[in-house]
Amino acid sequence: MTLVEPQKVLVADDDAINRQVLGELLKPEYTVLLAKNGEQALERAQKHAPDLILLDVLMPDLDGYEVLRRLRADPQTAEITVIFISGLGRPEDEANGLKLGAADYIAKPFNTTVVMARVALHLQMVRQRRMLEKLAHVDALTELANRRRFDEIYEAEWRRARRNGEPLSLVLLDIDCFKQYNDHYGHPAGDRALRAVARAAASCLRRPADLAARYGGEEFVLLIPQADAAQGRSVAEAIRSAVEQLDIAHAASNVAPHLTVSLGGATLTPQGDEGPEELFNVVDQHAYQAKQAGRNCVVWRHG
Amino acid sequence: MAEAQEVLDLGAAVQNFGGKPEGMQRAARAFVEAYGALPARCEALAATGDTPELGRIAHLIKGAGKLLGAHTLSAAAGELEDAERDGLAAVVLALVPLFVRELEQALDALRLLRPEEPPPRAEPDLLTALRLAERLGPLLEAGDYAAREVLDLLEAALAGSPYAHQVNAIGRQFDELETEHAAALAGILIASLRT
Repeated sequence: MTLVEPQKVLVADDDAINRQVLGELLKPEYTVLLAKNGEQALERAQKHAPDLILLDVLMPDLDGYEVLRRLRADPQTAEITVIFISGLGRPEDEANGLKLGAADYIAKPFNTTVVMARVALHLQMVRQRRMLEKLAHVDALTELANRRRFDEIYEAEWRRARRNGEPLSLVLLDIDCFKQYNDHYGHPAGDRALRAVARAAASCLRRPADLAARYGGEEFVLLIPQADAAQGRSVAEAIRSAVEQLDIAHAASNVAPHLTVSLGGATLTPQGDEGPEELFNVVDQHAYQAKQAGRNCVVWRHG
Repeated sequence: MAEAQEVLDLGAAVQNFGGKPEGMQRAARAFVEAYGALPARCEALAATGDTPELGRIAHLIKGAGKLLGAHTLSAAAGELEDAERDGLAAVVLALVPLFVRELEQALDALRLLRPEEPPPRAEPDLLTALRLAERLGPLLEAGDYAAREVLDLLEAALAGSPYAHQVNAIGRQFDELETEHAAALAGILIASLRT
């Protein structure tokens, strides 16, 4: 059974009484984090990634408007939902807060029932947004990242590798004789095989930044940041072996009596004007070479 | 001195704290500690004509006072704050005596609401206390409000023991969100309990 973690609400208010009231109010439903000033709010937002921030406008160091501006400027915190909770209760105050990008504005002294209702509503919207984002990024059949997600992450990792002068390894995996598999065993069995290969590939990736994605049809792509050629190749070989060990019968294959995969890979430390598509093209060529070399093997670019 | 219920809407206040009198009492203590010196300060500010600072104080008291059921204080603070925002310095200064009087009355009433000390235990439950204290550190550092509940349990486990004042000190630091200091004090308590 998977236990759903309670959503996190950060209460940023310089008044201890307000913090305590909001803490008592929200505690039964949510994890409540507290901050007493703008700096503490930013630090906790970065460190604990709350789902929602109840942000006081008037605070002694950074005011709530400035905190919101800084949250929005940092990609790590830019998407956090913010509700202003403020003693400035005039219509122009509320309009100003909403124009800055707050999701809502609650005037102090607040009514606790209204606060709870608005927090619950905005957190429900956060959950729905996350679900939509997830659906937009996940391949429905294999539950790996989809191609769109891969393109986004690959671009970002490419930039990071270039900025930090780090190697980036990329692998393209193709299931051998998959058309014959589908023809022989039928599409439902083909779908099961795709899911099994996806699980095997994902299980060989160990680090949080590693990514396995379904690229299309029976093709998968594996992104392994900060991995040199030896490390990248070792992961590719581990995947090839893991798929072989699944021992999925493939009577129509001309490679082996079981399902196998061919993998092409390369490692590059991005620099100069090179773009991510160049590495991808190289990997694609090496996956083709793996097919030409008899399949069920890894072909890695030298140098 | 006025009875607390003559000045405060205690029912509404307890409701604001999720129906828990102890939460309201703790907030009352925090209010008294944070704002106990404000009447004198407001009079001094009025004497020098520092209306922006008076407006800032009124802003703080308006919200906190309402949550503690001090409705007339909250209203007086609101009037003063509005006058300051509208740049009506003379009105602000004219409103100070009423605001100070309401604040003093509310402070007197809130002082009567200090939380009861938990009854002293025959023997402090040191093992439970140690387990609780060990849970505290990460909660304090993160500013996680769940620390408050652990602190209450810890206070009960160590009531009447020489460690009780250490728990109080951690609680006060946490209520003020001096979280690093609170976590450091929790570390000292853990070390004491282990010996």
